[in-house]
Amino acid sequence: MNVQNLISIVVVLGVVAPGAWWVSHTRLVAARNDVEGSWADVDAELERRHELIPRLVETVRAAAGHERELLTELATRNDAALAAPHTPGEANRWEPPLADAARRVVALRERYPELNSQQNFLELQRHLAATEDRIAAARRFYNTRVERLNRRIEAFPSSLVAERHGFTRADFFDA
Amino acid sequence: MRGLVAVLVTLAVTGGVAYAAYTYRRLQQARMRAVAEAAGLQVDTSTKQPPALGFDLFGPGRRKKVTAQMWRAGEQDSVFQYRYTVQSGDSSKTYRFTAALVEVPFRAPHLRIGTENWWSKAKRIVGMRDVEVESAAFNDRYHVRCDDERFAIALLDPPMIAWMLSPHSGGGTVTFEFRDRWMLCHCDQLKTDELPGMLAWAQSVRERLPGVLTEFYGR
Repeated sequence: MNVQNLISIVVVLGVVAPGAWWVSHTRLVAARNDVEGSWADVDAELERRHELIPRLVETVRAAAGHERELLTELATRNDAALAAPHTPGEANRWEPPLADAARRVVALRERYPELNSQQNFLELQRHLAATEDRIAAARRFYNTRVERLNRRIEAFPSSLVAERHGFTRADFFDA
Repeated sequence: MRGLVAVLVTLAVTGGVAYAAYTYRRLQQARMRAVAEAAGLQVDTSTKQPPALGFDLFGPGRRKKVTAQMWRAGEQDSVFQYRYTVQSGDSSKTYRFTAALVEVPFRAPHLRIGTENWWSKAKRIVGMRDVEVESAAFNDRYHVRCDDERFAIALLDPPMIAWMLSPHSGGGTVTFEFRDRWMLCHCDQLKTDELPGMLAWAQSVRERLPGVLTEFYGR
């Protein structure tokens, strides 16, 4: 190999390698921003649920006061979820029990038929169901973004860029 | 004398062909009317241009024609036969479809769900992915393209995915498109008497669409 060929290879590598590195880094940054943006959407939907729960507790308490234990459990779980840091990891811990308790409170309508005649309760039930659907849709979208980011972090050659620049895997939201 | 005979024969043959075509067309129209009447539908037997709604189906080709449009009185939904021709001369080819156009209760970005083909599979292999959902089986069978990925993900919830993977969805023979307030379902051309069934089927698909789409994309 003569010196000219060697110089050509070095020049090409000097241009191509940094270019590929830059493209890879830009894609990783975009993927991470996507994850953060889509998590903000999930968080907004979780907020909607947190705002509905106290109203649900008050409405049901009027008709089913005997279910004090369940209503207290729901209120406590809502407070705990609100107080926890708004991250996917913490949400995975606090949101599923909250959703479960809310479902059990809504199901009280079967034992207290008078709830079914309360406009307030019916409206809250409708809002809560719609909010659960919104959370599920936002969760699915968030998880597709996480999948994309994690794939870039793990796959060669972008894994080299991810490691060098400190990109870390994001948590899925399973609730 | 021979020239006169040739002219007369030509005229007779041309007239015969024209009359046969006319009769065939009349029979077809009578068939359309009978099918529509039996199903309680209105029918337009004329030939016209496809609706200017920006669907991929109506994009390519020339001599685009909609025929046998059927609809229920007072409703916007309809079903019709559609065909277009590509290229010209000996190499021209006409593609024929049956399409159902139904109104949806939200404003959709453009979305297309069709079956995977060798080209979309090749793109996946080199990392050019389409919209992907949480179901590997769905991703393997369908190719999803959408202007707004969030819409596609909201549409493809677990019940919808399960239905799309079931034989009830047409087993991959139907392509779905959404744009603005319309959903278009189309497949290879069906017989005229299958059109009312196609319309009813497309309307049943609308009932399956997740309610959250109206929440996020309501009019």
